[in-house]
Amino acid sequence: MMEPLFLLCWTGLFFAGLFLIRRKIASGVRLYLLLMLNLIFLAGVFYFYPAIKRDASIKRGSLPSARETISICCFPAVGD
Amino acid sequence: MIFVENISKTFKLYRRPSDRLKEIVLRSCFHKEFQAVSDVSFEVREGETLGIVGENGAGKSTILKLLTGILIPDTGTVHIAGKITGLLELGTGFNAEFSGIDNIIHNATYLGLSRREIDERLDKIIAFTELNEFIKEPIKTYSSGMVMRLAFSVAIHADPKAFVVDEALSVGDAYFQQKCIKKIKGFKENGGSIVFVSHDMNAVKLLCDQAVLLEQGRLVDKADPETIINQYNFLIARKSRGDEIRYRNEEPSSGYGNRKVMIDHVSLVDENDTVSEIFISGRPFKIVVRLFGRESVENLTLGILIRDKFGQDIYGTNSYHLKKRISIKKEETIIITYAFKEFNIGPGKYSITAAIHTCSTHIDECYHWIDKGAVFEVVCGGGHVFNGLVRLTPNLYMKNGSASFLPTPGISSENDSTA
Amino acid sequence: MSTLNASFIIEITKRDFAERFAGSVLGSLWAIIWPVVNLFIYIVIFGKIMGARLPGTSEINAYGIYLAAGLIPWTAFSSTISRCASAFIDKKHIITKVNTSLPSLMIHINLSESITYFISMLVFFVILAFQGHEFHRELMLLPFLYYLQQLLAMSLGLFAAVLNVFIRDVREITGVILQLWFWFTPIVYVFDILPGVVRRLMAYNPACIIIQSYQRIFVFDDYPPFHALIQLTVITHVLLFFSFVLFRHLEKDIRDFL
Repeated sequence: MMEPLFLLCWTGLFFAGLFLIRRKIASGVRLYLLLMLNLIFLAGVFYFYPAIKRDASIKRGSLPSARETISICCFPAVGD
Repeated sequence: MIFVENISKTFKLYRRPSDRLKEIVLRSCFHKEFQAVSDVSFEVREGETLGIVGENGAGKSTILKLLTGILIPDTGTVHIAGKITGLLELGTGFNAEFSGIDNIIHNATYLGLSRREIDERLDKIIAFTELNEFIKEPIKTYSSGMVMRLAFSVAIHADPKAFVVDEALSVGDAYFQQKCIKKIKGFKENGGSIVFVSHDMNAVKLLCDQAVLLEQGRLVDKADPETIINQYNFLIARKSRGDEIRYRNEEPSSGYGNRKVMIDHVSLVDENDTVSEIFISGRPFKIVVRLFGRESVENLTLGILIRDKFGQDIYGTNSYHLKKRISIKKEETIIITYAFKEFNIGPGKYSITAAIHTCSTHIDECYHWIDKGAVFEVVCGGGHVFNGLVRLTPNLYMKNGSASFLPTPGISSENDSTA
Repeated sequence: MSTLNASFIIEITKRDFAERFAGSVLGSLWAIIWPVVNLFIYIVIFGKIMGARLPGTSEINAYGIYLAAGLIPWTAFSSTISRCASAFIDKKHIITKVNTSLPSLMIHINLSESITYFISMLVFFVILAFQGHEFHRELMLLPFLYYLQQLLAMSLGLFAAVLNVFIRDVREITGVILQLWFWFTPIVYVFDILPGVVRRLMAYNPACIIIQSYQRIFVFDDYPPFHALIQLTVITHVLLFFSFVLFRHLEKDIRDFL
């Protein structure tokens, strides 16, 4: 039951960051910072979700090892 | 406040838009350049109106677009304290299928109002349009004047700090125009800055505190509207006649033109044939112009123009329109008299502008043009007392009993004229 | 350049819908009728009447669900790209008259497609619930999946939009590419029928990763390919960054050319 809680908190954190950047940062850099925040947010969802889930049936659920990452980069995990 | 510093804008002319991409990839030049605005600086303070005068293609619209941010300048900065809206974007995003209210909301959004601000002002905007029950109808049922009302109401209520007015103001009926001008004046008094672009020199004179003259993207001069307009007229005349013309700025009354024929003297004569500077409204009046021919010219036109102290044209005509042929020989002096049986102009100070040229206007070939060739004052005297620009001579009647029509009360109360 | 203005975006999105159904009697009800009809075709016509079966599942109308799960996101994805591609040209009359922030136009397209997507998904869920479909827990990942997908669509759309100002053919080219892309992505067919070589290639098809995630969640009761999604997230942001820098670089020219 951890996952919904995680998603909620993570999204909340994202919006807090969004709000902060909109308020505090000058418009020149703002958009690039927002882009970075966005990247961290989305990548975080797909990275931490399976880690929190701890389901054995997720083939690559846990944190990937270096070797695994390379193999995924060469043959991304689709279609199996 | 509008603060413009050294803005330049060059349009790159490509044969095809795709050449721009080729340029980036191949790093070579595929365009011709056109300098639309070069190194223009000006400042419009709060509560001030600046007129921009210039021919077509002098860069006026480009400057307006740079001011509103539709275009981005190559160099220089545009600084505007607050929001700027303009009449050139009148009715942006209007959709004929939707009602007036919907279009107000939509248009206001484009002008940068938030939903809350729109809701606050909606009633005021609708009231200003005076479209009453029409406001709920789709605007495809509107006349063009009604659409104009709608568009203007939104633009002026968008609460800008600076306002850009294009020729657009000339649309709509006289009543609404008056209302708009009143509203614009109110806007000025509240500290708004206005940039006004028009070919209507009278409007420039009336509305502007300052004016700039643009020529081929450069700022030629910045001065009071009167001076700028005279320069502009000179510019047009020069365009048409090449380079023989001199223009002596230090002595405005010397005028300009190629001086094949010169205006020697302008004098004003009253009913007793004495030269005077003060005249009585409603009495005879003569404008006497002495011409000197440096070359012999067939068929010239002498025009006169009476302007009031604001520089507004009061009355003007010329010998072409009066169907009088004037010719002059070399080294000859002739005297032409415009005689007015009744000079029905209201009290005030006036000046005479005289010009000699070909055909009906000074555009084709201008021999000589003088501003303020003579100045004079008109006073009330004799007859009934009145005020205003013109002396009309109404008759006053009175009837007893139930007449078939009743004159509206109020008209007769001020004029205690003899019937 | 004005910054992004939320009420501006919302208002033009509203107008977008209002204009689409302007003058019609049913009005915005059409926004619901269309997805219902589409889903009816996918599920009933393809799934039940044509009786196509999906290997690896026991449900009778699994193919219909498979189809819907792929087509709803694809529709949002592809129409976002194609509408973005021509956005500057379509809104020329506004851009040349008012100071509009050009990225806002992109975002408004996104928003309006999202509404369509949301309605479609809602209808889809209702149908699924009626059929007694068993919902997978991973459904809660749907919003994030959709967010990623639309970001990708927007980065590609922005890129196409910038090019489209200079080369008007880009709009048509985008249409052709999207058509090809659709058939190169396992949406109406199943991934497993592809030969091995194509299957390898498919790994480099971002749409495939996204659509597969949907299909796994809805049909195969499986987890989406998390790693591929992380990679896609990174790629998407790089693309977004690149498109945006390109746009910033050419914004002056875009405004001049319109």
